[in-house]
Amino acid sequence: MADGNSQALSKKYIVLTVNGKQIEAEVDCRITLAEFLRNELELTGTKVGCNRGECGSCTVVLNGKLIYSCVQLAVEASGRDVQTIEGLETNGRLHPLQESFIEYDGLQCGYCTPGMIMATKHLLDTNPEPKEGDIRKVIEGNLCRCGAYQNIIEATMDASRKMVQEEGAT
Amino acid sequence: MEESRLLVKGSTPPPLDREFTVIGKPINRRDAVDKVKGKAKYAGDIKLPGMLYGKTLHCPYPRARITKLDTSRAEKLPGVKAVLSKENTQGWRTSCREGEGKYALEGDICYDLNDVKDFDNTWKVGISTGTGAMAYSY
Repeated sequence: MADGNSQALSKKYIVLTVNGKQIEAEVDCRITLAEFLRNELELTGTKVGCNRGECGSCTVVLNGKLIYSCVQLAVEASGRDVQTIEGLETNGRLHPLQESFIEYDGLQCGYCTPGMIMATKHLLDTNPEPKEGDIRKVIEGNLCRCGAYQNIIEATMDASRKMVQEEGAT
Repeated sequence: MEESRLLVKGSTPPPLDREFTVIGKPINRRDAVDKVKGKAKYAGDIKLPGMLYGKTLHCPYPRARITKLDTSRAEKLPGVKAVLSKENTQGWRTSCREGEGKYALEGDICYDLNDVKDFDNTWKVGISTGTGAMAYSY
C-alpha cells in the first residue's frame, strides 16, 4: 500500500448542473458524487447507506439516467446534469410522487425514500403508465429495510394515475 | 379459554352516536413530508463545528488474539488527531456500560478468545481519516 503521505490530493475544477442550478467547484479527484452532493453542496437528501452500489439510497438522475452516486466520482459528473430529491418540489408544491408516498405510507424510517422516489420518478418520466412489474423492476436496485415495498409500488401507481389525469386535464 | 368465552357473551353494543376524529381514519405520518423532501436530518447528515470522524478497525481474522498494537504509523498520517486503543483509554467510561462499572475498551479490543491458540498474530494498525486506509501485517 502506498505511503500515507504520497497520496497527493489532486484537485479538479468541475462545472455541473444540480437541480437546474449551475455549480462550479474545485473537488478532490477521489470524492464520489454522493460525497460532493452531501458534503460540499449540503444536499443531504441523497443518502449513503452501503457506500458500495448495493442499496440504492444514493440514487440520483445523471443526464437522464439512474445512477448510484456513491460509485460515481464527482469529476465524472462534470459537464452533466444531476437531479436529486431536493429538486423535485416546484414552487413549493410537492411532486405527485412525493404526495403519493405520504398518502400510501411508502416509507417508515425514510432512509431509502429519496432513492426510491428518484428511481420511480425516472420510471414515470420514461413510462407514464407503468405496470406493477415495471415498478418492481425499476426499484430492484433499491433496498428498503423497513419493507415498505408494497406501499411504494402502490404509491407509484397512484402517482402515475394522478399525473396522467393532470396531463389529460391541461 | 374460560375468560375469552365470557368476553364474547351478550349482544353487540349499540352503535356510537358520534364519529371519532382519529380512530378508524387514515392518518399521514407527521415526519413524512420532511422525509419525501429529503429534508429530514439523520445522524450522518449532521455536521457540528470541529467535528472529528472516527473509524473502527476490526480484527480481520476470526478467533485471533491481538498480541501487540502498533499505532505509530497511523498517528503520523496527515489529519489524524488520535488513535484510540486499550493502551490509551484506560478508565474511559461509556454510557452504555456505566451502570455495570465497566470501562470502554478495557481488556482486549476484539475477538479475544483465550482458549484459542491457533492464531497468534501481531496486528499492526493504521488508521487515517477520510478514505480509511489501513495497514496490517501478521
